[in-house]
Amino acid sequence: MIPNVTELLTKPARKQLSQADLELLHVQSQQSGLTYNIWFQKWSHGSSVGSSNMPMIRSENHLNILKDTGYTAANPPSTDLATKSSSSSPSSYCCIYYAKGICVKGSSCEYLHRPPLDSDILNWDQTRDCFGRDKHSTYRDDMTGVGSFNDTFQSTLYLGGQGLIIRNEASFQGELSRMFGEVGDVEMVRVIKAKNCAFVKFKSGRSAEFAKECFQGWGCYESDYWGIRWANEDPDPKVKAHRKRQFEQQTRDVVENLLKKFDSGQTKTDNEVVGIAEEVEDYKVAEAPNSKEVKAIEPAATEDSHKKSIIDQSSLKYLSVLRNKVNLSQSKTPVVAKKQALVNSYDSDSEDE
Amino acid sequence: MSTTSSDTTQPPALCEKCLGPSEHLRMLRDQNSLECKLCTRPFTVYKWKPHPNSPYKQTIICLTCSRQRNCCQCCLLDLTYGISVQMRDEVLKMAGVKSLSNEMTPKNEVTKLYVAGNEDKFQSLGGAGVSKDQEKAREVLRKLAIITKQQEDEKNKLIASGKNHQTNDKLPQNLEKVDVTKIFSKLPLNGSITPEQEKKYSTLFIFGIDPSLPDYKITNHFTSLIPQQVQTTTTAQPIKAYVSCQKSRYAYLTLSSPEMADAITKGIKPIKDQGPGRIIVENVPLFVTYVSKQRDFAKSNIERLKIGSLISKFIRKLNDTGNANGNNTKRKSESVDGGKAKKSKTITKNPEKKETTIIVNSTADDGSFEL
Repeated sequence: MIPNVTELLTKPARKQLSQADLELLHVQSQQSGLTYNIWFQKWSHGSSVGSSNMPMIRSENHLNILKDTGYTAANPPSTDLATKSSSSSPSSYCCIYYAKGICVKGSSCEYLHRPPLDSDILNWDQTRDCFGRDKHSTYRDDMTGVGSFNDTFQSTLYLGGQGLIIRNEASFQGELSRMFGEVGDVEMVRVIKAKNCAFVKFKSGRSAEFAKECFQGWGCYESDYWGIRWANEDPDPKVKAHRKRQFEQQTRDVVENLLKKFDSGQTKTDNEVVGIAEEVEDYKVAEAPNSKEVKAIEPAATEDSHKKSIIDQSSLKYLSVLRNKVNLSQSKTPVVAKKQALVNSYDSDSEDE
Repeated sequence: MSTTSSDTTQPPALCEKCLGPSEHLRMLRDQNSLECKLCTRPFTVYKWKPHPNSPYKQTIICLTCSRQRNCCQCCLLDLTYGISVQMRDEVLKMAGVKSLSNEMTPKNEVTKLYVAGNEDKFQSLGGAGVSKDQEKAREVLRKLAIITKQQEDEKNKLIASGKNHQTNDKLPQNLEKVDVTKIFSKLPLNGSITPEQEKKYSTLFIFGIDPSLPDYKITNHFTSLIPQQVQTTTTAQPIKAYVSCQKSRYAYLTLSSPEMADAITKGIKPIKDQGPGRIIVENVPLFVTYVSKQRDFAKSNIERLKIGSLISKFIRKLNDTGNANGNNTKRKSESVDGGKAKKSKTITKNPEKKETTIIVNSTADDGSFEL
């Protein structure tokens, strides 16, 4: 069950840790192994204690979602209510220290102190994770780390490691669904006692990214802890078939959205073109407007095939209309120069910086 | 390691959304400063601020890779459609575009470099060739509009014919040999939804769940069943634990207190006087009963599947009787069980209207339900 986040966001975020505690934590994290070798004066065994990938010790600081969630400098309450559209930068990400339960900044933090929501999907880059860290093209070999931007449908986590203890399968599963359900919608929890591991599948990949950092090194009992990695694709043919169906449904939704955009976009650009034609005084329409429209796109697309990516369709039409006008009057309009400036302004300067 | 020569002289390929709303942009150019995330060659990086107060955005793949995939150098979404490249390829497949050139994106390190280095050979990967061409891209959308309409019609037809939810189980062949009677006989399939006076249970047994029905939809449905007065008086989370086994098609839902369980079950109608209650979540009928304690699931996958198939059969029978009870089915009640029922009792209901006799298979009552 996800708690009501909008209700929690009415209060300021609290400081999860005092500055002194944080310094203590830094000292502790310098320990890079389990045993201290007095002859070599080094820590040995379990070199990955310091790294967050596969922990060898239970993490001490936990996120308490009901107490810690609140508004920060990234989403002050005034912008949430009315002036959300006017706020300059909508793309602030979740605070990774908040997820780990060690943010000392509290309400002055520049990142969000809340789990990811469905509405974030539009604002956040596909190439970044929910904490704003860059993703990579492939996973690491050990399936740890930030994750891959090519696998856009990844939402399953693997829980394992030598610290993981499963006493009772059913109760462990219930505990997992309760814990992970606090940060996002859980689709499925599967515990395999014989292999000493578990899988948690979320509705959205963003929740999985958050949970992966949040629950790293946690456990259900007193002294146990698990490591979390990304899961490989489930080889079960039934699950595969279900995944395929789900993907098809997603595709259908995307297509619907595209068609909506396409319909509205077409009418909009048509209107714009009409508006421009009225503005240009000595513009003479020689042919029917429909055939004109087709002509308007083609020469521009063939001339500079990569430029069209920057200039949208309406401006292309605009340009072609203006080009026609230039052909007629043999003079340049200042508007053309302005539009070109966006494309060519990097060519001359900055070479000898 | 070669860099693309056109990289430094040409402007980056970026989408409108990444560039931001302002008309005038200042960009920083940095030659060969990063390695392209797709082909691993160094490339010219551009940085800019989409909003005056926002952090810098930058290009993460080289212009060659972007052109081959027709995607934005910053957000990697398709430049024409504004969707992810994988999704675009799938959409084009749906539209019936057959000539998706070089569908496989290179994975090997050397292949990546080779594909990126020979741009004239590999001008477009996947569906990039189609979406680059404005006319073709539009044509595809027009086609899709027709296709989606057809699919919707088919779907509506399916719903009208009542075959919307179909589970065609292809089960392993050696399933019949698996013996699960020990676990299956203990499942409270014939339990009741009406709360008992003496015993207070806070755990509900739900059966009939489906892999297409994710956990959160079920838990959300149950929380929505809690009456408003109860919701406001209690601060604790109403659901303590939800444990499901989708292969076996059943789950346990433990609530914070027996009172909470009673509040929820008041909103659920039993299918017959003392039987399990029925709710419908996302077109999937679920059956709910009280259970005294949660039991472990079967250990192996094959046992779980077997239990799942047994429960499917049980539900089919339950649905038949439930429909007959509803008085709106054309099916005659006698044909529900045919001659299969060994022991059967007859219940007469609705004396005012037509008399319908319902034969309920009571063999399942003592738990020794057979295939």
